[in-house]
Amino acid sequence: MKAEKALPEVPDEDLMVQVAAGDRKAFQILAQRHMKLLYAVAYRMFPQRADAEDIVQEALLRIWSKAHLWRAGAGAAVSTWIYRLAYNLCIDHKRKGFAAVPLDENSADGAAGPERILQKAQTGAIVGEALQRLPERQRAALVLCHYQGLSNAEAAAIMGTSVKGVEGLLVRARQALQKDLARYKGVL
Amino acid sequence: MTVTQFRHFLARHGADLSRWEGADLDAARALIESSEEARGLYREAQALDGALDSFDPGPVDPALLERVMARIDGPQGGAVPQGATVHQLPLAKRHGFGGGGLSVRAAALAACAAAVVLSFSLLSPRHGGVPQAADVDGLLSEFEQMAEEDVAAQEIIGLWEVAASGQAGDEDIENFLDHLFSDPVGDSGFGDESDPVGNGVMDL
Repeated sequence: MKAEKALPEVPDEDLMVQVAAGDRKAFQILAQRHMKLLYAVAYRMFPQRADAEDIVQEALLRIWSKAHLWRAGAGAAVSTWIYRLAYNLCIDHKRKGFAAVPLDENSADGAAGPERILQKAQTGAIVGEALQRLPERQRAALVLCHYQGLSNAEAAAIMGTSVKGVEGLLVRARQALQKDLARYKGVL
Repeated sequence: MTVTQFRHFLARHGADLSRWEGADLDAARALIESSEEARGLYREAQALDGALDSFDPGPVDPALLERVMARIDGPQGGAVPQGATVHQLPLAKRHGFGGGGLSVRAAALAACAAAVVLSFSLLSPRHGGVPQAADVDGLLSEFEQMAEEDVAAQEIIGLWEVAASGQAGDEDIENFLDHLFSDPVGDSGFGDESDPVGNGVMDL
């Protein structure tokens, strides 16, 4: 007899089918599985905890209410679909009038010593603000490829552009950051 | 691998060689060994990657999921307004704008006009009239007004991408979208090159 998989081991694709059918438990597992990546994307796009949490919350609610729109076998992995949702919400959030504000300070690495924490937090804050000065799509390309480790092709699928388009965004983003961060001693 | 090729890979993929899609990694490593210039470029890219990695989002609040579950269990069941966005369209529709021979600018104008007209007719029934294509200022004004509406904005951007994907070069599209989503004060660092008229849209 074929053993039934415990829900946490169920692949995303199967969970999505269950979520589309209104399975609350399946949604909770899918949400737990992807919440961290959603938050990482949202925070790096909008480095205010409240903004990032709003985006994550909205993304999760849309996964729940729009799971039926994801189609297995249509080419997009669940994670790509979720990234795309988050990407669209970030763009939408920007259009609602988000204004860059100083970064939250509670994003430091708690495992390091005090000096290292301070240095890393300072560098992180400078980098976060430099990222905010990038055009939206350049920042998104960098977040998806550098931070989330997606391939350029995956990022292109999420952003609705070509691989060459993503590469162009990455080149311009890195050049702009290099120039911007060169102003700060000790960052580069 | 030449130093120029090496520089391009660094710019596209960063200093992590494992991410260099389609590159001859042995040739890249050999170049790092043999070329002082390549080593310098590699060190710069490593420094940038290291700086980027210092920007850490920190942990996500576990209570966030509880709040979401509470919304789902609430009276509206977590429902959000339904609204199709371009990413849900079949792939064939996303590449369906033919009409060879149009210039990038004409395609952009046609796309904007089509987006506005479609959005007017499909999304905003309160707007009855069709804007005159020749009235660029009026068109852009309508465009901006509609961009205030979330669904309309998604549709406009999506339709523009769909329409332009068959005609405009990637860079034209990216520049246009970059400006559309950029701070209007234009501190993006390359605004003057692609937006000489400074209105956030390619000079139509």
